Amino acid sequence: MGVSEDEFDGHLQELRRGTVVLASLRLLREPGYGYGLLEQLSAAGFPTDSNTLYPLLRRLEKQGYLASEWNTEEARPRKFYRTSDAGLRLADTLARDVQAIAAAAKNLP
Amino acid sequence: MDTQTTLAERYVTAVARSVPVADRAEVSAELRASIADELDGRLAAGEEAGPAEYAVIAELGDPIAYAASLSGRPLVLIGPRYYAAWLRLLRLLLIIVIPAAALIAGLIRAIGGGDVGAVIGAMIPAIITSGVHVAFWTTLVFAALERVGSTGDTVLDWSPDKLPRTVIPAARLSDLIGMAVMTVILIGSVIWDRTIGWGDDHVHVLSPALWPWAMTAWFALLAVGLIVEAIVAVRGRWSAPLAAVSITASLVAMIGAIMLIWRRAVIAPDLMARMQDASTPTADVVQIVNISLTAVLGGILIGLLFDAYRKLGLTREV
Repeated sequence: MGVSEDEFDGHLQELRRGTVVLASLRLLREPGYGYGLLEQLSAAGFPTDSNTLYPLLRRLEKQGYLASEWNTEEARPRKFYRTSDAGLRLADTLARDVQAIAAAAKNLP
Repeated sequence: MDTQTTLAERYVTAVARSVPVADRAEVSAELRASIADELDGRLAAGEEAGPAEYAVIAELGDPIAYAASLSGRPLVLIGPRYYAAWLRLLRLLLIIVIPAAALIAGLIRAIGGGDVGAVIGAMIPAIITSGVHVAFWTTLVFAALERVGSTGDTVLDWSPDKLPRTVIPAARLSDLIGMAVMTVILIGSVIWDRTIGWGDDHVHVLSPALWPWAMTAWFALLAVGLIVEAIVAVRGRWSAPLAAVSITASLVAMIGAIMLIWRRAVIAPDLMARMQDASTPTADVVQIVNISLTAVLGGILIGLLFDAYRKLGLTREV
């Protein structure tokens, strides 16, 4: 995140907000937990703050795009999220839209 | 190491306290695991334990704000939806209630035989108490309105069909709420006066002879004012006939009250006798009270007329 200049941060954050939803829904086709997803997002080129991601996961779960399950087999019990069918459809729609936006942005003068 | 565990645990506790009870256990468990995971990540990257934990907590930010974003609750007491209505009503009520409370407190003290200092001394706490009450209860009502129904996404549910037919919806609504609150306060205080009375001595200010007829007539006039205000809130604008009804009701109420005051029919006989006892040949307390009351009622009447004129002006602008 530190690469960008400070004065653009607000605008960049706004632009990226929706793409974090898309990336999370796609990455969580394989069940994952909060911190693990944070790392995966960062590695995939979607760096996200923890205090943005955790509330987002909760909201997507409430809306039915994510399903969750507690994994208590390990020493540290974790809540695992998995993208639901509705979540997959949402991700497809978002992906199409991102591509359309990118194409449209290229054609801008 | 003890203080470090405490920092994370303190944060989890602070967040848990601010989420709904039903979610508390789950939110705590998940947050605890996330913090521990992040801490492990930083330790693996070679950070020192103390600063690493501090950084993890700092990144999560204010626990109340974090809890609010988890449960999707508004982070404002009164948001843009109600701010204008709240401010307008609060101003209106403060302008009316504070002087009235100060006057009543001062009057009671003066009748009880206090000098100027004692009268002012009685007015100051009345001003502070009434101001705090008005501000608190008004704000409470609007803060509750802000939290009723769906939160956050209401803007998305909006369509042009939902546009109120009113010109300034917030203003109209606050007029109606203000009028309703004032009517309730007025009727409540005269009933209180009739039944319980004021202060430790349970002084009744108004004459029992006013009941039932004069009071019924007055309540009816208040109801007329309230109904007119409600019609205006629904229709969204004033019209000349509505303004005429409203002005007539105000005129009849105020002039009737002033006439009854000068017939010495308003103030309770007990209190009247005490005021006469307190009078001296140079200062007739009854006379002073009557003149003050007339001035106050006249002032309110002028205010109401000015208000009606202003509202009619609003209809022309449209």
